[in-house]
Amino acid sequence: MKRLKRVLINKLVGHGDEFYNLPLEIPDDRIESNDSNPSVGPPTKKRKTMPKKELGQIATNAKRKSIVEETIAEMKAQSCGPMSDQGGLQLLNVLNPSFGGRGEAYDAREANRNEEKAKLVVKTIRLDAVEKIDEIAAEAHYLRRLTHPNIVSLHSTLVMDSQIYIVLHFASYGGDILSSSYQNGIPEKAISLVCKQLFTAIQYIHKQNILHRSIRASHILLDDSGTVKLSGFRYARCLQDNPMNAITDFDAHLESSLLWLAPEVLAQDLHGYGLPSDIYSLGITMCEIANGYPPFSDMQLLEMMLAKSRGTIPRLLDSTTCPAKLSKEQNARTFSPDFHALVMCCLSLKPSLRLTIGQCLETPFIAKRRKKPLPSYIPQAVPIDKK
Amino acid sequence: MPLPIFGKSHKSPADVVKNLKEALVAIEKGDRRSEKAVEEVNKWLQMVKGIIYGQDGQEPHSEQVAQLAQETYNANVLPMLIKNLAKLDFESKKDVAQIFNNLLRRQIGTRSPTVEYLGARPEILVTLAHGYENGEIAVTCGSMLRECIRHDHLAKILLYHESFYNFFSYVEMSSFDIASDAFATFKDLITKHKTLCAEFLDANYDRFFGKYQELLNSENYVTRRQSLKLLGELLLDRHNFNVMTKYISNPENLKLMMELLREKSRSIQFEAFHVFKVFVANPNKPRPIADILLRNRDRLVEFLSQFHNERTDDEQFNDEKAYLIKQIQEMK
Repeated sequence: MKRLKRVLINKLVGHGDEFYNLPLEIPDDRIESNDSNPSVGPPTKKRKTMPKKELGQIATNAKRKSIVEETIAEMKAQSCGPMSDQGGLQLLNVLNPSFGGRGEAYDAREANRNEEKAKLVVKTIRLDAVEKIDEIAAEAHYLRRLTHPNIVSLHSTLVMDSQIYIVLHFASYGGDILSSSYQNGIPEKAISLVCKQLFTAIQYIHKQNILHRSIRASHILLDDSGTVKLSGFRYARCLQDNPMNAITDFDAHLESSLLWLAPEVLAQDLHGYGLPSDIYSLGITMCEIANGYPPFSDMQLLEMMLAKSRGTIPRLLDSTTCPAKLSKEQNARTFSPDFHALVMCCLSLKPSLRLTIGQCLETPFIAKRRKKPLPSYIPQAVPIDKK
Repeated sequence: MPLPIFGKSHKSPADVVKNLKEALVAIEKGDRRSEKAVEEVNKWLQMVKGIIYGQDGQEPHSEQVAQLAQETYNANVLPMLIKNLAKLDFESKKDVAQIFNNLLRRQIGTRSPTVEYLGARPEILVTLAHGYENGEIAVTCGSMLRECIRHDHLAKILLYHESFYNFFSYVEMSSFDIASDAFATFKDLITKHKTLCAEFLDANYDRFFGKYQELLNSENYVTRRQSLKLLGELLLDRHNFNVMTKYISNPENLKLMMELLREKSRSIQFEAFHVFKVFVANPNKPRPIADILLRNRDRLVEFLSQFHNERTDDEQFNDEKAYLIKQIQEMK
């Protein structure tokens, strides 16, 4: 990204004359630090130095873990930050790389507490690898403002050296983890239960005019009791006061979610996009968890965009839709007409024709009562901390 | 007036505000009833929102909104809401911010009645700024503050108030999300209204930059990086010309930038470059600045020619770097 700075050189030359009027300060003559070679050696620091740790360098997971644990212990000892009053954190295992390989996620728990609630996830991000710190601040900012049973909750955030630690409450299953246990998609009843909770979370944020912009299976987490937790608020945006208002932003970091984005987002035109674009992403996400992979993923990007802008509507894969291409398992199942209808209504090309989130919640597919709780429909799923 | 039988709102704006105020008084007293009063406040705030935004998809009635706003000023409900913000429940806090921000944006012709109201009561703004000291209400207060700062009149009050200098500690708080919210507000305060900000910085140069130096030397990586970036933006803003000339004639500042150029963090090095370049590009460098650069000429040229060479796609950066090298080489 280019920095939007005006060319400084012209400007200074333009103001050249005024420089003559400057009052000259007679400086202290000893300028020692500058006599040393500027390209060699560490800078002399005036600030109180923190013990620096090579977190940014390549290290084994075990080593990293111990470094982070030490750091947190240290923070506790210095009793700075939110950790101190909660008895500190205990990091357990490395889970997976987070934030596009620029950090790690750790399984953790609050020290001296054993119950479920004490289970946490610590995400670390190496800030030096991040061009805009505001991006990360945005996620924390939204999470701080949202409290809903189906939205991941923020425990605390803090900065040590050039790492940021985002501490979240733990959820055992990630949406993409589910698809690795269920390669051809998870059962319909489970989807209905997941969606019901997911939709209430989205209804909650849409009521506040917040657009999630990155709804996809990997941002849907599940905890042990089968409670859905929506995450991924890094890309969220608050629409202006009027719900009809649309935004036209297309930030470079949306690129990671191209497959899930609505045609009007991809169009990047002056009409902009609003809350219905989240509904489109929801439709794609439903296909993703039902089919086992997101629609359009077999296409070139350009092909995908063209298909979307022409109004191609992705389908749920079962015996009623294009059976020729399908695997045996996909062919053997038939999703209910209610489910098919809901997906279709979310994926209309025209944003105004899509259901609103409130209407989605009232569709028979969602409203139908299921006999058993969610976990009993997905026995094959393996929690991320037990993998 | 619409017939009330067709809407949910059976209460007139005056009643809503009156009831809201009563509930707030109960909270302020903090007696046994206060728990129930918190629920009451939540309920009445919903009503207020209903009037402002319209109910069940209906357009709001502008007369009702005007009446509501007037009642709010008359009953002095806004300062009470803000004063007791920490005692309200989570959703109510957000409602307060939403209502407050909406009232602030409301205009009658060219007048903004809420801005005038707040302008006459600077203590409300100060209370909001102090909100950063309480983690539970920090970001809510932040959003209201930034809405206030959009109006130059209110921004000026905050800038020239003693509590402005508290921001230098708010932006260093250990909780990242609150610190970065405070930083966003701080940045708005000193950049939003160019002429006003330039005047302020010029008049309070010593105190402001004395404090700012502490941010640049902060232990906190994010503070260091964000404040360095903001410094670059401040100095390159044409309105801040006087401030820039003052800043770049102080050899201490040059030394600090040269140190930051050698920081371990590449992002900080890069931000420092954008401040350092101003010192070098100055066609009339004061003697002490020129001395430092001259004494380090060869080393600087060597350092800069190795500096962030992988940024091949950033044309402007490469142009500037080449220009700096040339300038330093030609110095006598």
